[in-house]
Amino acid sequence: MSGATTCPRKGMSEMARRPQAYYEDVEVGGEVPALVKVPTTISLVRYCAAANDFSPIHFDEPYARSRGQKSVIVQGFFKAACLGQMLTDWAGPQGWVKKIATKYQRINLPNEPMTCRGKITRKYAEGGSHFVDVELWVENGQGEVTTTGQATILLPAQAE
Amino acid sequence: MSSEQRSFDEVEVGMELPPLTRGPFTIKDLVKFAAATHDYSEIHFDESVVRARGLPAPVVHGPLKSALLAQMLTNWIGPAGSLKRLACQYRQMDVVGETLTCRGKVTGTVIRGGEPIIECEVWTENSQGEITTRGNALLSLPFRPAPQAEAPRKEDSVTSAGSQVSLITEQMRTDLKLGEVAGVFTYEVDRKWIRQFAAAFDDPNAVWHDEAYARIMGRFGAVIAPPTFFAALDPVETKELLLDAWVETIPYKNTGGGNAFNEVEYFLPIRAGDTITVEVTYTDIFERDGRSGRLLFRIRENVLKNQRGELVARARSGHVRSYDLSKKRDE
Repeated sequence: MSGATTCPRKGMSEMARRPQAYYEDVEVGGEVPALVKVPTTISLVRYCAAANDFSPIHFDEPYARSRGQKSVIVQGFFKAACLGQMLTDWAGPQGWVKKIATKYQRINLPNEPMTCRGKITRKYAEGGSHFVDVELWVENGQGEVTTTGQATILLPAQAE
Repeated sequence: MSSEQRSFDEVEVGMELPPLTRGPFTIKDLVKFAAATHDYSEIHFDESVVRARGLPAPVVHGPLKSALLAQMLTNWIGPAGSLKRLACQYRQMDVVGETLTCRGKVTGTVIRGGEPIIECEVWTENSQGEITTRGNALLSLPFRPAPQAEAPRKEDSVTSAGSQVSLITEQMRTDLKLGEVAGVFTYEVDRKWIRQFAAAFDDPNAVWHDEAYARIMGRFGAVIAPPTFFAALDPVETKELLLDAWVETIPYKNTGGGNAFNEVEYFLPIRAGDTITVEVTYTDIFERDGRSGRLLFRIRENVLKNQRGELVARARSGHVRSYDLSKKRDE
């Protein structure tokens, strides 16, 4: 359990609060602050438990090796979740991830760093709401891109 | 499982209980138990930690052995009996690959405060006949046989027909019910689950668990789920909807597979307290050649609605399996 989930509400850790991003402050071409994760084998099992997905490739090492992998592999959805976290950390409590799409080209292994990145490709108003499109990707410890994606985020405007 | 009712009158000291055999245990069995009990100690699943500690294989949880002993007891006592006490001592480790037999013997029958009580000795035996767990139990049983309950109806299991296989055939399309709703599943989403989900990838954001914070600061004024929570509401990923047993009969060597892509568009957030109904429709099946051989893709769309029938999200996901066409299935 992280500290934030156990601390009482009044003294809620700053870790659990997020600054608010506003549409006006976003620039096309700008990057979303990167998020680095180093999932462990425990992380993968905890994710299996939370998502009720018990595919053995994520926890059974002999099985994973029999499938030609070096070890168990990180769930695609785990990587998507981390990209989602990068976006919601940045967008703040008034932001909303409207769409997120991810594509898994290469595997990631546990105990290796995984860097989640995003770049703003478009900002626009539609039906009275303000949207930002973001290109997403995950890099492994060697800097290779293992996962790509796109997202659309709804952001509040300062004027609202 | 038997729904037969045992009565106190038919029990004698020295009687043996019908044994229960489980195994061989797999890592998956242990991971599922870890998930159910939130016990994520690596000695139950991580081969490298297991090797580093000099253990022969991942270790079966003691409480799992207790759970099986309890299952043997409750199977025997029937629905009107109750397990009042169970105490176990884990004498010897059991590891993945082991098969355990749970056994029990009646050691006493007494009436305490008007309540008929059975005392039992219970134990687990490994495949060498060694006793690895020992315990004792107190059971309460009714005096006379209760009217027999109607046996629960057996659900029709999802089976796939077909024996002639090429990589994609009409049978596969039929099995997937291509273009039609293949299954409808309902999930109750509570704050605890959302929090467990966010904690799984160490996301401490208060919007996922703190109601007061979410009410004041959050866009929706309530605790909501992180963007990829739809993954936990996917009956294909959870294997509740299994329409591809038939895929396993493809005669070529399967070299891998998994999630190829996921997309979601939300129209409403998933809130703590929502009951989400998910309709799954397979929309496409196709194959192409890739760097790991012939790739077989299955594409599905999930429509998520809340308890008011409002559209919450549409998700599209692709699953891929790769085959080496130069090798037979079992090569």
